[in-house]
Amino acid sequence: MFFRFIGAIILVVLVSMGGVVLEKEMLNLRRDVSKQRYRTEVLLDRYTTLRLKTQELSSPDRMLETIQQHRLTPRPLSRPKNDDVQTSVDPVPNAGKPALPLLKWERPVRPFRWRQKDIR
Amino acid sequence: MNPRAIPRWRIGFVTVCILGVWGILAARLVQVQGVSRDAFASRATNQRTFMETIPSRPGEIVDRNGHVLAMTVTRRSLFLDPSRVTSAWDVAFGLGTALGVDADKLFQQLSEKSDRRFMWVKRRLSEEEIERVRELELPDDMWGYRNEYQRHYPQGNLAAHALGIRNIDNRGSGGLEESFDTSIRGQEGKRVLVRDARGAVIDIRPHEEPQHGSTIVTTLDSVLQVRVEQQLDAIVRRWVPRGACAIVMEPSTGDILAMASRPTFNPNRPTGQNDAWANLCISAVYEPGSTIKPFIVGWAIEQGLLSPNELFDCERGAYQMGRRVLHDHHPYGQLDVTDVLVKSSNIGMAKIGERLTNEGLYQSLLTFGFVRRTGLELPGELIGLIRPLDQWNNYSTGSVPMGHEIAITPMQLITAHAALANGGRMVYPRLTKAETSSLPTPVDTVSRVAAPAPVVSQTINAETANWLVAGPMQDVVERGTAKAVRIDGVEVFGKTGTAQKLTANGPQGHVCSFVGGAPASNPRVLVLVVVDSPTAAGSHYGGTVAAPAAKEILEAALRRDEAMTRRKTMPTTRREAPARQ
Repeated sequence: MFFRFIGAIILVVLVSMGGVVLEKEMLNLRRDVSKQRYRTEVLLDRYTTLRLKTQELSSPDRMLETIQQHRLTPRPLSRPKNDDVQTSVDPVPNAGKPALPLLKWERPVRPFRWRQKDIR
Repeated sequence: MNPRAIPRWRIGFVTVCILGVWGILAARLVQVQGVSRDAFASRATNQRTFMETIPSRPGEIVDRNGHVLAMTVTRRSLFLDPSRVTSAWDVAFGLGTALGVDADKLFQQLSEKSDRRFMWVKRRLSEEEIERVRELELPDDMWGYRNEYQRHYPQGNLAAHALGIRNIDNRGSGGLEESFDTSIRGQEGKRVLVRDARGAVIDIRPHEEPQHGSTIVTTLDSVLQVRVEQQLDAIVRRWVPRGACAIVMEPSTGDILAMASRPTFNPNRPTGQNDAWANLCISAVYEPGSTIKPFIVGWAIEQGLLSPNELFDCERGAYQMGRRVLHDHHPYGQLDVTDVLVKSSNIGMAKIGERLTNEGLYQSLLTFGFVRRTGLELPGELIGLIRPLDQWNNYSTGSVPMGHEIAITPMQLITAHAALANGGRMVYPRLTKAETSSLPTPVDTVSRVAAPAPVVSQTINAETANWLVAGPMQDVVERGTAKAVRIDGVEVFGKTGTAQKLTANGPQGHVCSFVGGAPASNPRVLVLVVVDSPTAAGSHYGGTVAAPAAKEILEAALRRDEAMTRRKTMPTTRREAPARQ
């Protein structure tokens, strides 16, 4: 009788602990999703800020003024050669620069390892 | 009976009490869990969760080549928690110095709202201001930032009237910002925040995703727009007019390539004189003067009342018409129809008006769209001022053919001239090419947009329209009133207009204009320049005030057109694979 009672208690505790683990895992995943959303927003903000700066610096008004003052010679309208295009590609983009909050999953999405074993 | 035995009534009493208490508890349990379940559940939910609005990011406005004309960036706004501010003056003085706000006023606000939990200090801070606030090292629990969207116009006051402004509450006011307000604004989203007993957020549940605003692709060309704005500024400096405006249009499609008005304003700092807000291109009417003459001639030929080779006696400069004597600027004798237009003879036109009669004149104005809006996608477009036909009299027969007694908008005028340049086909003007829903705007979006076909209607037959453009209107530039617009190697056509302004005190000032385009054989671009009441010394004619600026604009537009044509005809970048041997 005593062992049955203890067994039942252990079973209940194990089920509860399993539930807690699942709940925590779910919360972690949701936190990750929230982080990804946050990163997306930060990236979009940075993108728009840089885009604004680019547009301000390259505004036709500014460029025409520069050209008229002979501080910049407009290039003739011609397509770059294919070779130029290839050499202009940086093999390691942003090398040595501070990393942006890239959209990537930092933790692997593997909540149940025993399932992976089963699959194998 | 055993004296130590408990009386039965006492046992019964205790039993009833216990059962009663249990019964009450059970009843309460039933009430909480059953009867009032929804009410309690709702109260509990309200205590734990609250709804937060997610603002939608307003869309961009770009020109036809992808240059951004209006966009939205995120800015931080600084707030304080006055209830946690311990030394109000120190905080007010520090923030006042860092942000350039009035420290005394801030101190007063902090003192008055000391029991509140939230107070704005300054909204939409610059990066420098954020850095200065950071250096103050205020206690963390006292202040914070909230992100807010701010509208930016990276090109400054370029095409300010066409764009309009977007206010602090994300509402469009004037221009495309107002016309496409709903599309640009997007739709706010909502999310549910779950808090613990201490108020800390422990979970965020997505409820309704925000729909970000759409990007509007306009027909404007920023480079050409800059040229137009420069020319208008030059006119303002040289002639000191009350106002001026210019429009550049592609007659075959109705695309407005540039549109500017003076006085103007900077949409990034929307302050200025009151009349700076008006877009004269659509919200000002004026008597067009001689620029309307080609339509009257075209309609008279169309109706079979006039032959292009016909001669008119221009009465040596004075013609009695009823009780009125009409005058020309110079006395002319016999003039053919071409010369009536080239020399802009009012007497010749009055005689054509007599043939058409008032009904015919009114019909010609109807045909060329002067009594309706052009339908350009901007708010505040005026319809023009043309009196009902039954109010016209003998004066009208002489006045209307020379562009008096009627008032039209510059946009109506250039749209009608586009019909002549387009073989008689009237194409309605448009300022937008497309609307895309993606944000941020992909680089290749602009090139992929498919503009809807403009509405087209035939006004006069192509032969008459082509004769007017390549004949009299080209002669106006070659040997008439618009010699200032001549460009070497280019067949320019056009018509000048000079109309006296009638005020309550009689005639006062002139409206000088020029409308024309090139090349006459196949018009690709049309320019209109209107200058209202030039005050500087000099002869105030369309050919002297408006035409020189129109020439500069036309040259820039033709250079742009040539560059676009060259770009279109360029070979593709991909190299063909060598054939195998």
